[in-house]
Amino acid sequence: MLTFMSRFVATQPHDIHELCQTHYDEVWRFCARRLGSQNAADAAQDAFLIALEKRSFIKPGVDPKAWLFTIALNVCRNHARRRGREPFSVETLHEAAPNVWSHVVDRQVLIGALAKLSESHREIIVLNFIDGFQYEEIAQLLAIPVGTVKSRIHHALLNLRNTLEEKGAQS
Amino acid sequence: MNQTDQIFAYLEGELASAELQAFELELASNPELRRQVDDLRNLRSALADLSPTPEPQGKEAVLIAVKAKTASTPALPKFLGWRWVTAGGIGIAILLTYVTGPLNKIGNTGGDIAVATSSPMMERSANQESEAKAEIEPSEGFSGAGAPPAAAADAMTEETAKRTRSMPDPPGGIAGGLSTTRNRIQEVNVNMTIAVLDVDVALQKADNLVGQWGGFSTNRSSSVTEEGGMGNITLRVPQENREKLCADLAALGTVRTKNSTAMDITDTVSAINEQVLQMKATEGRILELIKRARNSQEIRDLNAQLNQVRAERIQIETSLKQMKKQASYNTVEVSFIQRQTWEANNDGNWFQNELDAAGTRFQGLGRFLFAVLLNIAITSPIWIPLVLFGRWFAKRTAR
Repeated sequence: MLTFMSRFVATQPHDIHELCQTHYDEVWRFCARRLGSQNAADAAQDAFLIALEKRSFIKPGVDPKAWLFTIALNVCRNHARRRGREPFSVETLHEAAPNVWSHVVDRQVLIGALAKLSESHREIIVLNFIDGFQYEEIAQLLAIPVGTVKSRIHHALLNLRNTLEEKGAQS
Repeated sequence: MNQTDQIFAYLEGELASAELQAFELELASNPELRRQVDDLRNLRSALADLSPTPEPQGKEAVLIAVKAKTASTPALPKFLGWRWVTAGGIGIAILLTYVTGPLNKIGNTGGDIAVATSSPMMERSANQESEAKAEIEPSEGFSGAGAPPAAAADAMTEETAKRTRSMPDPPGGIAGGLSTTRNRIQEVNVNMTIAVLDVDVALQKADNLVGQWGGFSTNRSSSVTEEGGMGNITLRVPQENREKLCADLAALGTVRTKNSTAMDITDTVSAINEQVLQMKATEGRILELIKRARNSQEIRDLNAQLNQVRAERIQIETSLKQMKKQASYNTVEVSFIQRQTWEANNDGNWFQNELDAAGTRFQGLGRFLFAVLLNIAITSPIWIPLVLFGRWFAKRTAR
């Protein structure tokens, strides 16, 4: 009943300035991984301004951080669409610092294999392994069940491994 | 759980202790499984290391922009979601439909033939009836003065016999000719074609109605063709109740055609009466001759003539009685045809017709639900755009 009533009761708008203070760096990196560091600041600013405008829309019980990243994800998608490129392009991954590279898998080969994944698989791999979101957070971000998130990640990893094995066999 | 699921559960630390022990035993003895686990572990590690870590930029500028806009940007009103818009749209549509009329008619429909007494269809039928009534209003000698047809006929016997003729149609139709005629005897025939949803039910209703108005049915038939059912019934009703019966019949469905004809038989009746009088006079003369007869042979011959004339007179008098009876009852011939439910009537009130159809097909709750569904379908041009707009607006503003 409370949940039902809460649909009609306007919630207290969140303090977006405080959210910006706390999460700006994460949002900026999130955007940078999708659009490149050149465009990350613009996208992050757009995300915070949209959040400011729609601050009364956040539903009770929803994590403001997850809501903020949902907005950021949509902003990145729109920016990428306007630039005529895929929202989860692997180009930005080349900006990774060379000193953190694992020597077990060749970095270029891995990025090449990622590029061959479907968009939904690539999106979920980036969210989980590169952005570092937990399954529950991804489920909130993409508005899908946690089970679907897990299963999608497992399939994406298996596809990625198969692609890498094929490349290894070829080389 | 298959082996792949077990591998992922192991890598994510989700195996229970018993399962974990069993899996580690399997892992120690199965090099292929160990290779798969190592591959996926390395892959996860490599993916995690792939994350670029440049230093964030522009934080101060965004903070200033957010702070500046916080005061000037009011929060958009909370949107309730497209489901509520959908429900609201349908609700408003039904409410509008109810308020504007058609839905509340459902409560007025009753019986196996639904008749909304205040519906435009019925009003139209009533108008048709009154027009038709004016057309075939008989002479005042019949109904206005209250003189029975037989009495009128008797009064005419003293007049000079005229040749029987049908009343010619005056320029204004039959009404123009008859409205000015007094003390005339007429045979009135009404032909009606009525579209109904159920021909058999309508036939039964017509039979009952004519009984209520003091008449009877003489002929009844029904058939089914490719176009639907069809039924004919011939009704005989006292002249004074003819219009009431026609009005009740019109209420059974939609009147498609209605023709009334009135044949003036005053001259015929007068002529026959005159003939009867002459025959009676002949009989009297023969009786006089019989009295004066001089022998038995002459009496026998005259008796034979008298019997012949008397038989002819009785036959003519029987015909005259039949004719008077015919004139005292009017004939209403009704053809019922099956109406297609999708068919628009002449009045174009398709919606009302559909509700009538619902009243015929369904009873009680079923009828009401049918009416609601019909309203939802008919008002779809109102609520579908509302819903689509609501969904678009909800999606636009949700994030």
